[in-house]
Amino acid sequence: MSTDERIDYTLKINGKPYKVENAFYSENLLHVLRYRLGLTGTKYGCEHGQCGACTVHIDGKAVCSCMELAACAVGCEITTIEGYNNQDGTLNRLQESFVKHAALQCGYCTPGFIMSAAKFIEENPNCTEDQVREGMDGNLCRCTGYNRIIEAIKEAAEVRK
Amino acid sequence: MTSSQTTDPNVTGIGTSRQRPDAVAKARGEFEYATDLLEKDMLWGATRRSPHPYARIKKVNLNRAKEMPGVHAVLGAWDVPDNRFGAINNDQPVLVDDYARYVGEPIAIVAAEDPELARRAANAIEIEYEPLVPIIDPLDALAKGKIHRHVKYSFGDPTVVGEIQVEGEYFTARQDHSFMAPDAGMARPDGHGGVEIIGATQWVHADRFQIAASLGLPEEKVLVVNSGVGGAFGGRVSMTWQIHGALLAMHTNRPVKFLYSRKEAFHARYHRHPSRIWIRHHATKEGKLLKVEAKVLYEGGPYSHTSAAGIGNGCTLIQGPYNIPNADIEGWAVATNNGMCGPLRGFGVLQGVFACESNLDKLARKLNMDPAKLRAVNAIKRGDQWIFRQIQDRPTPVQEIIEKCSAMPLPPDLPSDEGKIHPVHLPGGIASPTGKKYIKRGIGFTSAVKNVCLSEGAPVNATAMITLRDGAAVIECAAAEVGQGFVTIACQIVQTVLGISEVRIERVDTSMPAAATTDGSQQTVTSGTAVQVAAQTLKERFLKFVAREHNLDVNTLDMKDNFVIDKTGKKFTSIAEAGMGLIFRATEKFSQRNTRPIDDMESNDPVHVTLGFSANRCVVDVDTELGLVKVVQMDVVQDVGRVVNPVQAHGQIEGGAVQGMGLGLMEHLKAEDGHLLNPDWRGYHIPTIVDAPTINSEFVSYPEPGYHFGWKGIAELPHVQAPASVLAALRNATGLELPMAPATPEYVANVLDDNEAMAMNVASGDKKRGPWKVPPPPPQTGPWVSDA
Repeated sequence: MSTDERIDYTLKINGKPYKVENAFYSENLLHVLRYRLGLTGTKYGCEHGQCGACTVHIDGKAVCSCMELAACAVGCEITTIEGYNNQDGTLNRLQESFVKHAALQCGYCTPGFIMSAAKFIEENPNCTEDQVREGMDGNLCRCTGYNRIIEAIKEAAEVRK
Repeated sequence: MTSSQTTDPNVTGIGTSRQRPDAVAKARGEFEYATDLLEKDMLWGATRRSPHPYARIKKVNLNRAKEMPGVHAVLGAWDVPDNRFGAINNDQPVLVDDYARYVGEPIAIVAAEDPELARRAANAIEIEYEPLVPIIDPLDALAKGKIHRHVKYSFGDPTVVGEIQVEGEYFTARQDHSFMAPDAGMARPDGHGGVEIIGATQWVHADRFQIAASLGLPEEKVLVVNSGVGGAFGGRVSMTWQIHGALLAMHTNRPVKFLYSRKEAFHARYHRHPSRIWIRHHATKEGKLLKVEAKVLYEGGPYSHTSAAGIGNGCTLIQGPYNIPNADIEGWAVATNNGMCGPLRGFGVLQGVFACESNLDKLARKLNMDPAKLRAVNAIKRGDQWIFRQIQDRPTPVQEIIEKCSAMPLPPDLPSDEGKIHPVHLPGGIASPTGKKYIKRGIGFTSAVKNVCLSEGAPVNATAMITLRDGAAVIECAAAEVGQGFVTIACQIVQTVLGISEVRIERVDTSMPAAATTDGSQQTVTSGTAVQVAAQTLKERFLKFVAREHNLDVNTLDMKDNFVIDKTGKKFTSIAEAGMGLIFRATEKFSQRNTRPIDDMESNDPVHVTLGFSANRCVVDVDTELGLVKVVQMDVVQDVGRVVNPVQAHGQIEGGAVQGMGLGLMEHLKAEDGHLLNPDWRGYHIPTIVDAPTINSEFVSYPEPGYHFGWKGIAELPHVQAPASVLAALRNATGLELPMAPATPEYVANVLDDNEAMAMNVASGDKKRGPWKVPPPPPQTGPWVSDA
């Protein structure tokens, strides 16, 4: 297929259909989300799958949206930070924990961390520090030194008795 | 760290860990960064860059690109009204006209309807080059006289000779800022012949000055707005797309967006100066330092940018936080074609401290003395004189810091049962092939000094305006928020001074008076002080008004907990009501004390406004066969003055220490024949959540004179000393000299292997004669050529 070919398709994002028109076939999901659909909560960091700032959920899995061709995500359930957020504008437990523990400074890595950590704590309730380090290794942060991020995720993963 | 260190949205004032005002928006992904800006009808910019480190441009033909559908403008050097700009000297082309001097230097720019079209159009520009032989070795640059600045001075009696002498040559690599948000922003015509630049910067006013000059516009025709900044660390002092965007917006009369790829950002950014430093310490047999001699070589880019300031910092603070009565120092910042260099957290000081601390390790080994004790006995004290002829006239708790850091608890050993060690704790991390029997533990100890504020005659000042209405205040201060938390502490300062809880700070742009640049750990002490002084003036005005309205003595009134109170603390009326719906406002400017260049012998001003101190004890585990390293723990004690926000201060120390550890272990932006070899995060590794050690940070707090609340700048020190600390621990574990940062696994393993080809050279052009093959010059003949 020529990289010149432009196509139209519909993506299902946060439960709603989004029409993408006249897009290059080669455009990745990150680019389409941010610059064609205006969903800029998903952050552009490296565009080569190294930093995790662009993490979204596709069919229930946390993935780097920069590594997915948008046109190949047709038919998938895509969730971005906009869809993950409480729709009343409040913070959910994980986000509250990030804020409380000062797990963000510039905050650019934060939406990606939140999306990765949401899946991680779902699969690892009551996780240990070591598990957080291993499980969250796909996300980079340059400001905090990570210690507070670990605290935040650990606390959010505690299952209330 | 302890989990009790948490933020709270409801606490107010200085000394509390108030939650960042932008925290909720950031956690929800709703905080707008420069990369996020979108506008109707916007065009996309793209840049055509030089593929050669040094080449004469013979021909540039834009026509093919101009003819492509969807392309609205293609511009070259001749379209730039004034094609020379620079942070300090105007020696750098906006777009290359005669010679391209580094790989990635911009030659032409494009605006098109789509980013892909813009990239294709940029590629379609026809350029003929005559490649020339680049200078890739800083020693060659020195020999050829390509010198941005030469510093030479001595202190005391430079002929003094100590009973004990140790010397060494030390190297640090080119480090990238690797902030998370790549360079991006929007330029748009303002509809009245001017232009607006909305991007991410550390100093809107410096950007405006450079953009306006290049465009040939008066400054008031250029509005620079700071959008959300996704990390800076010194990198956003250097402009990249801003003038290009302004040119394209003016030519197309449409908004133009720039967004660099990570690889493009690596090429366009100005990195930390690689260093090569020879240093010799003279001491008594008891370990008392008598003299320091040093030859300091910093590799700058082909244009001067801020190299002169960097070498000045290095040539002064190579002293470390020690009292040394005699010195002989010489240094050069030289120009190579390996890419631009500029500020990065701990600017110029990190390299000097690395050499100083590494050589003191050697001295401690030679004297068989505890490294912390060696540092404690030499600790500089209040009233001592620095080698750069400055009296240390402010609190100087160096010895206390060193002793406090040494006394912090050490981490437990790895469990003896190998099965109980989680792989995240192993050198090499999760998939490491290491085993416990190969692992050795080492402990390193360093202390460090960093200048707070810009030095050597740079004006450092800020203006702030505060408006009080209905009991709530708004701060206007053009200090850039880059993630460090100025927005939090500015509000806390006003809360304390005015006794109110509701305070917010406006977004920053150049319609405000200038504030200080977010550089040199100076924002709290400079712009923070401007905010405090303005709030104080506002308070006086407000109380005067209240006293007059109610026939009271102004001297009996104060403001607290949102009320006007009397001397006994009795609430008189709420501040909101007392203002009677009127607007109260104050604007104040604060200037730091003047400083002088190192070589200004007439002035008695200090070289540095003030200095901060810290100590770092680092514990590492090393696989002595594979050279893999795990930093287990860092214990940091820092002189922080009065703390405005404890959690934010700890956050600066933790983040800085990990970033510094990156340079200590892994961050090395390499070049071969002037071409960057690893310009993305696949090849250039920054610390991950697995690499990050446990960090315990503690404060030593003495109010700094000269500021009402006694605060002090803190953000760079943790980064400055971390590489030295990591290497000290590695030397302790391996018994090797390890004169180079970063100590990557291949480097450590090769040295462990006794590989003699491991003569160090981190000058990024190290591949000219094969890796590791550039022998250092014999020190007894005096290092390198001098241009004197």
